Amino acid sequence: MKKKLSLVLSLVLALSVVLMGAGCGKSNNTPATSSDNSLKGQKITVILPQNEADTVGFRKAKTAQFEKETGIKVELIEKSWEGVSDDVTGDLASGGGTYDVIEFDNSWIGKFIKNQWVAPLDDYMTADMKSGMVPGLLDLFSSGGKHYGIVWNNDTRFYMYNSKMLSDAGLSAPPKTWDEVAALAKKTGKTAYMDTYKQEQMGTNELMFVVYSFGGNFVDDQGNPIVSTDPGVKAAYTWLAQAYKDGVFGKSTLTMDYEEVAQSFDNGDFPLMLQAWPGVYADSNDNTKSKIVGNVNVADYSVSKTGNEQVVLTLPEAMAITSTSKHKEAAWKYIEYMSSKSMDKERSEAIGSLPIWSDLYNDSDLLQKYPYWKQFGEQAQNSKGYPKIVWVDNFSDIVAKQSQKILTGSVSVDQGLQQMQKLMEDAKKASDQQ
Amino acid sequence: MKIKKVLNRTVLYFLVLVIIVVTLAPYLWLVISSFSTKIELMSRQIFLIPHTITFANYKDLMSRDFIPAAMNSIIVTSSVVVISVIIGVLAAYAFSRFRFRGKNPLLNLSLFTQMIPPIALIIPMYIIFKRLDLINQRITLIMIYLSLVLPYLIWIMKSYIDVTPKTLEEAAMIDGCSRLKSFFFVVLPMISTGLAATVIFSFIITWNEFFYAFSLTKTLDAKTLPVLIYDFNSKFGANYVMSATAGVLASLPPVLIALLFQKYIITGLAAGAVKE
Amino acid sequence: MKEKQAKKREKEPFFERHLGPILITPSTLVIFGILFIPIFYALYMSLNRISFRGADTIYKFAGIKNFVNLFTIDPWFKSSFVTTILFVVLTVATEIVIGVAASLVLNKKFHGRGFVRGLMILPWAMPTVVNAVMWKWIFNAEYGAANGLLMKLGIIKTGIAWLGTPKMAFLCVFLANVWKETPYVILLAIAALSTIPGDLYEAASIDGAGGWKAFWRITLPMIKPVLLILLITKTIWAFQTFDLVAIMTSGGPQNATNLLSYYIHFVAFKQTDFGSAAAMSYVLSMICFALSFVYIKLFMNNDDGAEKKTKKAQRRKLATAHED
Repeated sequence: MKKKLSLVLSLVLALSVVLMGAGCGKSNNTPATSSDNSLKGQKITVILPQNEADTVGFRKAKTAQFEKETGIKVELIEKSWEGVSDDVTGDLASGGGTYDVIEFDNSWIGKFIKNQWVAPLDDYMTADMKSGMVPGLLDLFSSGGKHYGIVWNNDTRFYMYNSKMLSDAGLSAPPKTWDEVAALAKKTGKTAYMDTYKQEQMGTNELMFVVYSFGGNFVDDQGNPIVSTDPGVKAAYTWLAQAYKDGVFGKSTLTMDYEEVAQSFDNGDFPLMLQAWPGVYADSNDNTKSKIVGNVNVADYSVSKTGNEQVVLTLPEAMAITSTSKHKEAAWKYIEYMSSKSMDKERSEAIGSLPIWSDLYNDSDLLQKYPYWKQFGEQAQNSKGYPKIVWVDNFSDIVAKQSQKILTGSVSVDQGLQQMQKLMEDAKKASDQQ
Repeated sequence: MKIKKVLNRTVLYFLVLVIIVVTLAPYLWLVISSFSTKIELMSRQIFLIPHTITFANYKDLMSRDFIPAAMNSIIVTSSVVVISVIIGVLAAYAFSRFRFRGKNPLLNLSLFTQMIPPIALIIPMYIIFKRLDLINQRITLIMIYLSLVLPYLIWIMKSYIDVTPKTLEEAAMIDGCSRLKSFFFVVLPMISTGLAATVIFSFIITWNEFFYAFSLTKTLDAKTLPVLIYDFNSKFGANYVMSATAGVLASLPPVLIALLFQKYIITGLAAGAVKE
Repeated sequence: MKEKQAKKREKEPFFERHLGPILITPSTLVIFGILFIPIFYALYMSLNRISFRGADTIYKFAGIKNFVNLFTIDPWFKSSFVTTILFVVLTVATEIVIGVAASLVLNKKFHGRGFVRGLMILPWAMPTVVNAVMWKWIFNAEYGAANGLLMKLGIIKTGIAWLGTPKMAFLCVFLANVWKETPYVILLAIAALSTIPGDLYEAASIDGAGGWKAFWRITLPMIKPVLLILLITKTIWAFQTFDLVAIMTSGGPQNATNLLSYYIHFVAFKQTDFGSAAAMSYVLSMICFALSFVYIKLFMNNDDGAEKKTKKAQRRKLATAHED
């Protein structure tokens, strides 16, 4: 028995050594081969989050069509956003090779490029694409002069409101400044808006919007944290803390997620949806889901400190090719197919997504279907997303946690921002050392 | 005296009622939610009974990958239950009746492994299974779940076999039965209650497991029901109605099986623990 | 006699002679085959700083630095640690106290006892994911049943953001866990109670020990072994709680429900700091070991200990007998 046991143990041990050895540093060089005919019969694996607006199965249908036209086989993996996030990160961190086309969230840019997990797309992109796609979206997914992602979900936000509730409150136009928002709540005695300030990335999104709209910034151009010194940040948090106390936004804002916020807006619970995403408009005009059909309007400005400087959030998600992909050509073919101008238009028509091609915002068919794009265009002049920093996950985590402390009055604004500054500095230092 | 008795009964029934309400109410709310329309759930008007009962959510769910995920759950769970019972009971028998070197350390060590939280193992596991090309496969989940279920199963079954008298077995062996034969025909029937309890126990652990399935499955080739329910979360939030509907369906098999065999659970599972 | 047995053994065929080891081989292989490499791989990771370049994973030996950093640099580890201990101790204690109390009630004779006992299985058998979704939905600040009920009863006027303040959110997660896990205690305790012979109580009542006294003197000692097992398994499971906070609170608000297993997941999959994550996991495992050990020590009172000692002595005797 002893012999047998030791034999088994040594076998397992040997196996583990082999695997561990393989674990540290086996490089995987795959030069891109560029012959089109060979693409047929190749298989690529694509992982993207479920698109909640895509209730008609647009992506699946078009992927099948792509397979038929090109002969490239596509395994399309769709999961929850959190699931995709963990999966992609986990897989790439353990050597990659599973996926060819991945979800590339705007917040991941710094981290993924530093880790060399995604391949530059410049050699593949046509001149048309470089000049025809919305410049902001291209810039966001660029680093060091190279493009890394083509957007599939142009998640840019805009200011929507319930016109009936506003006129009931005696307002002819939606509030333009934060003070006006607070005044509205005071006047009606009800919450003026709901949003998500949850301890999650979505909470950070919305808090970023408030700070940006007060002219503030969390980090400077070099990526150094400046929360304790930036006047805009302080103004934003001072306003937020007071607003929480006064009930300008509901206390449930600290627990709600986007879906609930939209649901509540459709329910007619509050008049202002400060940063609505593209799918909201259609849902609020759907009788089976909404009680405010016909009352939804889009403003041609967004809320800000003085009413002059305007900012909206942009949190687009792109498709990127992994650096470990063995079928980069085929992967590019898929991206190209799914983001061509005609496909972009088709998608907008089918599921109401915002186009990634500049031209399409003037497209008469689309404008007829989505007349509010005109106002949206005005708002989107100045859009802003996540800072391109490597420690972005820490950043997002710190903002969400610390903001909740400041909002609820657990710490004073100054104290809270000091702590936030310290936490961010430490996080940056740790990531610099890595 | 009589008054006291009546009072005692009243208090008893009141306490029982509290237990029933506390246990049932949350689940009932889940069931009601699954039969309501979204707009009604969000209206704050209703509380107990929805005005309109709808099966639309269930219909909708069927079009949303429910069936293949349920199949995965069924295949994985039944494989684990069958395999674990076969190899686990034999091992329990060996641990109980035989003397060999390394027996006790091995038994303790196997229980010790259960103290390591899954989160500690998931990254190495992912790397290893990836190299073996076993990611997103049901067989991977089956193997992992076996490693989760077996230590408990062996432990409990061993304590059962420990207290069954050896004399009957020995008598059978004298009659010419082999060791294994006497185990199957003499010992096994005696421990069937405990066996039933542990089978249900394994079933519930396996059916409900989320973390490994969440980390190691990707598509409907292997995705199980808990993962599907989690996937009703999007970037924008949770779809409560769908989660509730899938939740009701996913909880039916373990709950029904457990209710059907409740006698075994109450006498069996615990008796094993008592004997240890 | 011994010689005879030994001779007989040698005569037996290989299969019969080694039946014990052969029977345990499949189970042992599965249990350790799956877990052995990951356990040591994780240890190796915890001693390295790990970074990534494309397909390469770069391991840089760091000694115990990852462990030290947890307690010196990491801004959230300590609070997560405290939260976790608090959660485990509170949930396990509550579950066992309520569970035993409820089992005493359900052990009495009343109409529909079988049904009510069967009902206890419902929460226990429910998937944890479903449990988490269910409670998140109940505690929803806008449309949840908790607010609905309290408002209908006139206890509150406006809804409460249950998961919005640290203490309340912790309480909600705690409740959700207690609801699901207590019935298991009840089931085991009922079974343990049923093994207590009734004449023990009769004897006690003759001595004038009824009610509380009987509970402390008879009931508790009799169900102690079961309680020990419950304590250990419940503690281990409580430490592994992940889905509940992942779904209900994402560790918030203000980090109040960020249990270690969830925080480790964040460090591993968001920060991609595998080294620190592995170090934390090892710390978590160590606490589990330590606590189980403490429980066993605490609960094994003198006579149990004595029994164990004699058992050990017996075993030693057997072993030596086997040697010669």
